Amino acid sequence: MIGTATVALGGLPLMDDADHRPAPRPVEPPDAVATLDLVLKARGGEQDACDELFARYEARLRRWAHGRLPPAARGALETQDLVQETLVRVFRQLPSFDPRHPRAFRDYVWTTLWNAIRDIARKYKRRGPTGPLDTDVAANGPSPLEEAMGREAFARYDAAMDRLRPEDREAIVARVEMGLSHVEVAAALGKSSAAAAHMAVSRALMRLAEEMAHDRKPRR
Amino acid sequence: MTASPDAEDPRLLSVASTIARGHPVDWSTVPTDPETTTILEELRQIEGVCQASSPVPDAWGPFEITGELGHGSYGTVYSAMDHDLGLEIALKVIRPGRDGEDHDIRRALNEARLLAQINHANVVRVYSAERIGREVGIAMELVRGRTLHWLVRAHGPFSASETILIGQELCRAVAAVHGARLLHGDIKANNVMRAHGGRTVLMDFGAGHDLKSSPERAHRRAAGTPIYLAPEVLAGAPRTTASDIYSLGILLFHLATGTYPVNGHTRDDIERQHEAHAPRRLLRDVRPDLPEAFIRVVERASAERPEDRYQTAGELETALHRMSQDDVVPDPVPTPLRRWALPLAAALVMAAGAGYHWWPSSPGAVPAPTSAAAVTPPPPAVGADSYDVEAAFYRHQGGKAVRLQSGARIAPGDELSFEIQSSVPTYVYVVNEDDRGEAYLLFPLPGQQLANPLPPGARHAIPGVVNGERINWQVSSAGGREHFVVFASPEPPSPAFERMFQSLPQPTPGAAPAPQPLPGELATALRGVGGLKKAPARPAGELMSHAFTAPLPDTRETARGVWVRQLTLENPGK
Repeated sequence: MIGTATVALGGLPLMDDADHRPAPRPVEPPDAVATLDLVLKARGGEQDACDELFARYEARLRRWAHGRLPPAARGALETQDLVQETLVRVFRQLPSFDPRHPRAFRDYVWTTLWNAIRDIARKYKRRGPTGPLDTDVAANGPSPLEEAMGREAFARYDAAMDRLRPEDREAIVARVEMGLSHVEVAAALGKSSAAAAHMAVSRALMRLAEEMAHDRKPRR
Repeated sequence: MTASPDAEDPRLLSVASTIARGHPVDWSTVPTDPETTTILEELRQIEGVCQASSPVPDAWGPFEITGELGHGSYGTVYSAMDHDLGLEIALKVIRPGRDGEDHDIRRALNEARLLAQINHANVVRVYSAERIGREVGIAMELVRGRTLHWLVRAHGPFSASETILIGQELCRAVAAVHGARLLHGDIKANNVMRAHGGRTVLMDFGAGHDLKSSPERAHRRAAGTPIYLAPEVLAGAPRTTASDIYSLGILLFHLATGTYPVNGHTRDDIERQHEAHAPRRLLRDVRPDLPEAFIRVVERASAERPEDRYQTAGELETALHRMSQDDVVPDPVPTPLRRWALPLAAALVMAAGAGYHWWPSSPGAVPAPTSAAAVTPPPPAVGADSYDVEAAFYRHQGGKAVRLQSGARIAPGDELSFEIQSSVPTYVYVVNEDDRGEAYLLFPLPGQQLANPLPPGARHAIPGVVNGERINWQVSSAGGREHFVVFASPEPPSPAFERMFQSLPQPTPGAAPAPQPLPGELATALRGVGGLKKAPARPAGELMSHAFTAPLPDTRETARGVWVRQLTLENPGK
């Protein structure tokens, strides 16, 4: 077997596999209209449009998955392939969309990706990345998100996220879990400016906190 | 339910707004009352998440940050605007850990200054370097394009002529780096971009070292990617120009094959293989179609002993140049293999409602866009619909692949693989059945890099790369005979058929699948199709593979429609 995972050493600069891979274009953020345009081009058979579509989502999805996967799954090429697999599946199952209603397309993609990412995380939690024989402690260790909050709080966070309105959840995933800049969040959510995106994220975080608190009360 | 948006508490919103910015909240100044205590407690949890996930800041020093390009243990690379220059740049922000020492910061700055002296089309431009607090920011040219790693993964290996051209550009880049008294230290497919427009650009001097720095410092930490690291560096010797040449050799091997000459999962694995002088994967085994001269150049560049390698990047470039001059390099990969893009384009066509039919399908079969292989653009028009196929099974022993003939003996633990090449895009299915009638689907499997339809003109190794690892099948138990049935066709199977294949159990690494008999419909549906024995409905207990009598040939065959061949191996055990 060929191992292609990089070994991350501490300290000074060692680029890992995530670097400079399909670089999202910061000046042309993936707003729904532009993405839908790519979908239409791809439908017409333009290879570059297909590549671009994958590249655009892959980088973001990888970061998102990273936060929700246990340490053993991170950094490995495996993670990237999971992400690739997920994207292939999502795009393959795309129903047709009316270009006049980019919102429907955006919501569909977000919701599908949300479900897909959580499936991946659940799968890893259950059995580790390479099956029962290779399961070690790290495979079932906490994901970065879980580690940051603690197991119990993360469970509340995750459950509350699931109950939020899709647009609030998208705002939080984009800013917090994907770590996008406010410029990018604006494009991804169809907001008019970075300031509007920031406001949307702030409101969404507040509703998330309320939703989490709601979950906690009965138990205490 | 939650409070309605109208009932927003401005104090809560202000806290949430600070968190959204990624700034720390000064909790001592936040007023609390019984109403909001629990919500504030939750916001505090959320603040922790925001800080852990380090969302992209709005600015770093004078630069306005527009997005994130990548991150790793060293820090992060952002895309950013340099408003002074009116230029969009890549900004690498290095954050030494808490235990990071001052000399690490000084070294990063020093390296950036040396890099800034290099002005070469094939090396990423460094504009400036700056220190703010405990962070160092390096402003670099923003290269738009794809890494070679991405291209190999998405489109398959490069042709020999393309590999030679890229190799020459990289040699010039590395010569420029060495000329500036620097070593790169981490040359790999992930650190080379092919810019839009075709320019090859060497990036990332993350693990680079000043040639002038003391040897002890240079090998204090052999950072880099193990599979690309020269054996002597893994063993603890300092980096040299010859270790950069080794990495270049490995990179060329990877571009031409999608694999690596050395097997190994971890740094220790790879080190052990080098120490034991374990047999390497040979370029001529993986790509027998490559010109001998090219194979020799790659072998010499990646030679185990540094003294056997080319001594300078210029020497390697000359060798590559000579080959491109000789113009003897055939181009065995006719078109870029758009392995990813094809299924997507096709999926979208299907989403638009296009239908397709082939292979006798069950009545009422509905196109199911969920299947892994039931998508394709229309196959290219090939004269009289005939196509050429060549295929073989191999057993792997001590780094060598031995071709298996029908009746060959195998034993538990043996590693097997299959190779197929066709003149048109081909849908391939490989099924294994033992004497008890238990069957597995061996290809295609989820997670496999290779997907149907297999691109034409290249030899495909199956199972190939699965979840990022190159794998073989392994014989897991002894039991009479093993039958392998290969289905190939230029056209996708009907969804019903596809579902049938998908319903077979699939081997997964480290876990034995629950076997089940091949469905009887398979025989009925395929009866009379290319290469099948015309058999009556399958009597109970008869093996599926008995329906397919045409043996796997030793040579290329011209086929039409569905091509089905089988190979039987003896697996008697001790």
